[in-house]
Amino acid sequence: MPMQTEPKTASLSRAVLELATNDPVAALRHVSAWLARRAYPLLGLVCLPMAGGDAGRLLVAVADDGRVDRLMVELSGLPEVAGARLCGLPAASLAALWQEAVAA
Amino acid sequence: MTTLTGARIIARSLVRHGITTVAGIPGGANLPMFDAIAETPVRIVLARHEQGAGFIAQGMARVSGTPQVCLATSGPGVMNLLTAIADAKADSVPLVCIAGQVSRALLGTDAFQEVDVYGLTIPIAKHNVLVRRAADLPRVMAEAFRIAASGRPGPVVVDVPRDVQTEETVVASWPEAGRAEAAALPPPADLARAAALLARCERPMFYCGGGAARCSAGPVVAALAEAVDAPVATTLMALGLLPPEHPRNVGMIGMHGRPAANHLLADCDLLVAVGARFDDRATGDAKRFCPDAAVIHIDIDPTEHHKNRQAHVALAGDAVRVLEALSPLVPSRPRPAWSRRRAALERDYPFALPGLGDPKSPYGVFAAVAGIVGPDAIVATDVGQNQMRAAQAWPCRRPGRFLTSGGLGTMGFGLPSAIGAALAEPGTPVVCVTGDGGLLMNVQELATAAELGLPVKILLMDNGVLGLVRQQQALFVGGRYTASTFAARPDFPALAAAFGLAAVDLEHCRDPRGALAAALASPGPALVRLPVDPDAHVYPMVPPGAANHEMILEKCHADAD
Repeated sequence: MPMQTEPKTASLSRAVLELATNDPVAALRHVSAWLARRAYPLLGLVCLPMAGGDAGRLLVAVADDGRVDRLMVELSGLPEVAGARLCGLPAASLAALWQEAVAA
Repeated sequence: MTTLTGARIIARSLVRHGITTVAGIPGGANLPMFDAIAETPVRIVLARHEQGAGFIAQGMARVSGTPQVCLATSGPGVMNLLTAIADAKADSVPLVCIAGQVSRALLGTDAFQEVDVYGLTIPIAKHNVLVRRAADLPRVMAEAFRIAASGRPGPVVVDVPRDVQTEETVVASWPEAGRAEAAALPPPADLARAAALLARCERPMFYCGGGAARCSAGPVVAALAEAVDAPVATTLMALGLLPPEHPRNVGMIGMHGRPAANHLLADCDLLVAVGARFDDRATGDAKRFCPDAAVIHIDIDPTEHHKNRQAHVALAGDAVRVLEALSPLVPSRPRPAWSRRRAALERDYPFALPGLGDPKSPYGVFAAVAGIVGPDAIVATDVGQNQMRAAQAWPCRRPGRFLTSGGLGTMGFGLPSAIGAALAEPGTPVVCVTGDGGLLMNVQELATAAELGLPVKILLMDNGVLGLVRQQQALFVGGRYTASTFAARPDFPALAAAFGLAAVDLEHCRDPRGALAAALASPGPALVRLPVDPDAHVYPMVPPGAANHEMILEKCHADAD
């Protein structure tokens, strides 16, 4: 059982970011490392390569602790990220989205 | 259409990007690369440690302003390079670091000399790539140079498995060489808002960092500062932006900055930050840095805006172009009350360095050497008291002449970066300012300097301690000097001689100016040792966590003896 080391984020609202990338695997590693270094409250992350694998998108669900604007700016600056926007997708539907992608 | 190995694609890419010298060390995983580079006119400088190679490349890049290249083999080779990569990221230095890697089939098997270079360099490089096909190399190399040079420069790591280096592929055409992309200008509305702030303010001040120095923004900064009657302060990374005697220049701010400049910052009502990132060494306690000031933040990297300080107007772009667009919008107006305040502060807080006339003192030696080598000389410092004294005393007159590890603060930076500077500008005098602690951290590069016969003149401030650590222990740790004193003291002149360098010891020298002049005039590298009192502190000093205006100006430290 992992120990609880961070404050619970359940009371915070959630935000979902959609990141476009030309290298989904590289973007996945860089975005994960970025969030980990800043102890960002990550709620879910889905990597969706397009057919062929050269492009794709990442959906990143985070607790909105007031740093989302800064998160958008900094993730947009990563060479692996071609574009970033907030999307209206509820965080809870990330799993369903991933299952749809696998099924497709 | 040509068939080439991956290694030859790398070698030809270097030539296509104007690279004439690379620094590195060969090993099993990058032998094909070295073999291919040897077929080209590119000069290979054999460093004695990969960290040395990284800093040699940094020295070349900091002086030339263009991306330079270092090479390392897999495993320990590239591990040794990591500090130089992180240092380049912190100070925005364009590097392309090419590492050999184990063959593709061995990746992830804990093979001999295998480490996850890609994973290791994610947080410390601007960009990194693991090359999986030789056919990708023309594009990858062009992208590496483009990303290293574009926007805010930085290090790019290219990790190339050995079998990718030996793999043959057809190169139908070469991509355009990777060059720095031009940055866009900020929207006119933002420029207008900045101009309105400048027109309205009564106590404006410029705070310029490495980004301003890199694009030689000194003249345009000075012109706008003149128009609004503002003083110009610089960070450690922007020394030389304006010459020391320039009427607008109030000098370096921060932990060991000029007292009047630190006090002026506390009083200003508008701060124009140009290519500066509100680093904690420059700002002191960020909450009390320019507490009453509105902020205009000009930076080519938009991720710096609002990071450490919320800006009222954030302008993204090249500092020179932004200031050239902004200046015509700003009305000229004298601000006599503000000028009087500056004059009063400079009178109340004079910045007189002790011993400037004595070439055997830690400040006076800089004055003596600077007078001999002239204004075009390049200075590469190490990190610690020697660095801060050099920053305070060396008369920097041009950007890109004072090389120092500002962001990461890497001891061991001085000697290899001085070698790189000498490689980049043959014929220009290069002075390496170092301490006994820092010199020992990359002392092996004495062999590289001797082998190349480069005119690197090492000014060794030998105090037998980690001076800045000891100073902090004296001031803030109750005078308990834990693990900061070197009990064994090398005979540095003898050590230099063993490597084949000329050496002078000023300790018992009756004619220090003559000895300095002879050492600086001789061909090839030389070491000059100056003994320094281990209890001689560098002042002023802003205590950790304090505001800049709370700097310590006098010796009020505890005495451990």
